[in-house]
Amino acid sequence: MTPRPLSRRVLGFTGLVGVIVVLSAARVAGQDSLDRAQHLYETAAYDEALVVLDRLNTRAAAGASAERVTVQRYRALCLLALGRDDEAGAAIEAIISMDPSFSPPASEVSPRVRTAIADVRRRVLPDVIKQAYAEAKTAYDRQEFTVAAARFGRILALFDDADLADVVADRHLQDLQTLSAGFHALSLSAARPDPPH
Amino acid sequence: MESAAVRVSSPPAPLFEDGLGARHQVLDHTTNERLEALSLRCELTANPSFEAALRERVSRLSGLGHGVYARVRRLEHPPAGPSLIVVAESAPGVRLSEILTLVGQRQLTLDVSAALGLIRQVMSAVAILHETARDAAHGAIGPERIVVTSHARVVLTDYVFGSALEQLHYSPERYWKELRIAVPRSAGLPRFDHRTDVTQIGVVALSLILGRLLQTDEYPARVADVVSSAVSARGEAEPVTAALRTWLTRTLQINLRNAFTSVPEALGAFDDMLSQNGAYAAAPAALEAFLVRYQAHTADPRLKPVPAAQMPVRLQHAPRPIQPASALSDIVPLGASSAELGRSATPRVAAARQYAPREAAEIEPDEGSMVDGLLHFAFTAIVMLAIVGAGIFVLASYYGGGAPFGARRVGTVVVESTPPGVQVVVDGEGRGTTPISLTLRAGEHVLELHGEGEPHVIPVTVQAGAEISQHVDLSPAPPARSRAGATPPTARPAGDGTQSTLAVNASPWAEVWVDGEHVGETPLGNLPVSVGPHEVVFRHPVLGERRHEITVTSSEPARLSVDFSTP
Repeated sequence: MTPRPLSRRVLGFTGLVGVIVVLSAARVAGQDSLDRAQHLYETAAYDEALVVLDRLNTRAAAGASAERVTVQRYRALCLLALGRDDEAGAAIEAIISMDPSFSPPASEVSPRVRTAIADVRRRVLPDVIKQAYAEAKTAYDRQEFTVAAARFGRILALFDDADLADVVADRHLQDLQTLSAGFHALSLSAARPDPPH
Repeated sequence: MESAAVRVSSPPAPLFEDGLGARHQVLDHTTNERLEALSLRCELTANPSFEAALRERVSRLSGLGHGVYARVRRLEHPPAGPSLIVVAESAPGVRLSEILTLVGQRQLTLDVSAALGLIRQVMSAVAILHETARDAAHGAIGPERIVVTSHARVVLTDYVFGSALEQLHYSPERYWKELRIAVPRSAGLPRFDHRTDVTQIGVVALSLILGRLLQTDEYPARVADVVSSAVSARGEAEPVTAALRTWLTRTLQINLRNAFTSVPEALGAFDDMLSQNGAYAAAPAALEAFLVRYQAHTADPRLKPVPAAQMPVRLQHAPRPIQPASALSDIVPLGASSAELGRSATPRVAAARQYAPREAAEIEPDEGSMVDGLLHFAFTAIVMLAIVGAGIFVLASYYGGGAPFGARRVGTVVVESTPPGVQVVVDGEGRGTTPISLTLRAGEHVLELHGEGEPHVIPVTVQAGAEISQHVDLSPAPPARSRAGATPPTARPAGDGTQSTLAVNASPWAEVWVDGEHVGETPLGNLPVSVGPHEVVFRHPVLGERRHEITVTSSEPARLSVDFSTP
């Protein structure tokens, strides 16, 4: 049976709409790419960059940690540029919760930005360490010694962080440092395969 | 690299030396100004990061124009030799280290009231720097780098060394032993941040209370013992109170759990201590009286007598000035040494005096002149009256039943604001943030509230024993925002006055000036500018400078970005 002319028109219209929808989706995806956000930031279009970054942030919530860190990093820079320091602090806090070692080198960002990041790190790192310790200890208790050794090692590295120097004298943190060193050694020892008999 | 624009107009012997290097007075032959050139020790400049960090800080703090700082003009490499010279404005007065050396030799006594007055001034000055550039620290606060003027004001020198000194990566012990720079304990490498400045203020304060410079072996290991056994410069009969000892302990970071982390915190606690402890008063008059005694004792030409209007005792006849300021037109070696003047002096004081102005050598009294004889007598009388007056003042302060002498001649001003937390400056001196209760001498004062935008200036007249309140509503905040590490954007209108905005960025980053006004560090958005043409300057401490003209329109925000990696 041959289709009636009206049905062909309907099919053609539907196809056209489909093509438009696909092209529009691709265009929106292109608009919301990280590259575009980065370009808008670099050209000082901070408000426009934030719109893109906020959309990316929503989409990246379940994505890779590295992408989320990058999105939050540009969000923080745009917010600092616009003088929205509290929101910038929240963005930096989100970065540090994902990557406690985050601290861009002096050659990459201005002293003002470094100070903003260092201030947040000083504030949140003690809690981040406590949380990281709890996770590492849980891995140790489950006898996941390789995971535990890696996590305790990262915690010990944080104690060498310059931004933590001001608060490292805190007694609880000192205790955690001692405990982390001990459990790190135990985890390494337990994770090592038994020597052949 | 800048060309050498100064020449040393004095013999090679330095004016003053400390751990950073040797200072000479120089004459800028382009402006004919008398400046001070600090030739840095080669051990410091051997580290290339030191110079880079120093240049960055000199550039960043070039806008620091407050009178409590001897402004650093530029860095220069001398035509010969690997050294580096820091050229700064010359602060008229005497280094605090020289004063403490003399007091330490028991040749003069520094009253606790005078010491507290100096401590407070130093804290206020450092707070200004921290407020101006929040990520910058002085880094080299010490008696060697504090100048006390004849008007009993302090001027801080060498405020650009914080980040440069950090590059040396010395231990706290080495910083102290080699440079006499105090650095607090830390988990890793020492950092030169605001906490370090607080520590250094603590060392200055401890020295002032003790009435002597700290010895090499007293810091950092033994400083807690020194504080716990401290007595004032007056000797064993005058132990330091527990409240002051606690404040010193917290300032010196002896116990990190309760240490002050910022200067405003230390300053607030200092004021609380003074207000709650009747034994102490930070008395400007006691400091002025001490300087009169110091000048009389040393005949130091850098401290001319305090004008009659500022003396504790009002005079009928002003004394003939020993060294008019206008006489400082040239710098020549002074023939008269301290020995010839019949005064004892430390080698450094004597060395410094060798470069007094020419006019100082010409102040011998005109023999036979009746007028000069009377003036000389009047001056001697002034000094004696000042000493007696200061003695009465201090005695009354300490033994007057707990209430400071002159309590009946002061009033209280309570300052509140909406929103709170606004910085309060009284007669040019920072006093804390709102809400605040101020005890001021009876008379006229000028209050300044430094919130966002222009300072709010309020002239007040304080009546003895009375309390007045000032509430200032600053809630309808102006659009200009204060940025961390930068002054608020205040670009001058260059067009027809219609306002628009400008956003700037730089890769990797830059400090930005709009029409000559420093507006901060990138990234910067929403800078208020007028419609019309503007000049924007981007400056990076290592990558150089880029200048751009931009015309701002009212139709849309203007944007400008530069990439230092491209030519």
